Amino acid sequence: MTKRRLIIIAALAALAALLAIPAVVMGDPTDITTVRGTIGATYSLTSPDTISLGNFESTNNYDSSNQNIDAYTNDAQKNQVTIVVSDSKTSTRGFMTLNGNDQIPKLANALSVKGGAVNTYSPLTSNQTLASNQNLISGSYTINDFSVRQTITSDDLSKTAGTYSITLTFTATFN
Amino acid sequence: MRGFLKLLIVLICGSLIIIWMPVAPSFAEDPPTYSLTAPETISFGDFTNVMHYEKTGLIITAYTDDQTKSKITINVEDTKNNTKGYLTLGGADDNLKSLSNPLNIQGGIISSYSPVTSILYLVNEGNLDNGNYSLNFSVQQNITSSDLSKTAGEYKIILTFTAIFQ
Repeated sequence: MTKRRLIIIAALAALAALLAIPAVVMGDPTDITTVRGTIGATYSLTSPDTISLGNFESTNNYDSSNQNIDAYTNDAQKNQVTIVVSDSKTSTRGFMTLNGNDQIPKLANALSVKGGAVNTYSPLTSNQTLASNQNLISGSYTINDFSVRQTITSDDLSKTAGTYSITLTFTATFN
Repeated sequence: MRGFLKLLIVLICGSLIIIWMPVAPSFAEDPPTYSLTAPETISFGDFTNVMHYEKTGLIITAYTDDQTKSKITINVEDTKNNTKGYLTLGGADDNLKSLSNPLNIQGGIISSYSPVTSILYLVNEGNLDNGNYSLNFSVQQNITSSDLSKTAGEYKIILTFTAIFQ
């Protein structure tokens, strides 16, 4: 290979490198767009609409057992739940009354509940904590043994006829 | 010896030109410009109901000053692998964190909403007008009841638009 040829090859190499520069600048342009939407946090607590103890016809303990109380949240920041059941009446707190009014006549004994952390039947004359800081599993927690008991006395059987009821309020606190 | 000196001079000059050119290409023409502009963000807001969430009237613009180019092709894709086409929690490529249905797009030659589970060509060799091209498009996200109970937070997808000038 002659020196002249070497010079030509070197010059061509330099020219090729020079021409390569614009090619780096060129190309298929792209742009990106972020599409977004938000799912908000929800908190739910589900309890039975109605628990019926039927007709009170004899002195007896009337029970309804193993009801489900379900708590749920999609809030990933929450991992525990506390569930409390209460009666919000004042004068007849914890008692079934005629038509659910906060006045007499009321039954002789308070309604008792158990389930979750409440191992034995306990009167609803005060709040009952069924779950205390229990761990959520995929945002869910279930109490599947919630039960109520109403003790009927002979005195109750002679009270004004009608539907005796109580409204239970369940509250879940997620943390 | 003289030949070697010539070779040396040519190599040095060539190297200097290569180094110098990107900084001050005073004797060469500017390279052609190719640009594509898509919306930076498209927000559906809060997903609170079972319905189709939609954003319309979105615009993509493309431009080149390259006189040798007369046509353009524009495509859009999601570059994720496992959840291609789906909005996901925080944009993660995780099946467990995706919405039930993929994002749909329509616009250009895509006349009905189509999922971005594969690359979509919105324009196929469309004619440039003085180097410009403009395209309207829309996006739609179908939200199910299942989606509303998914982990709370921001769900998103990053769309990559590409223009090919010919």
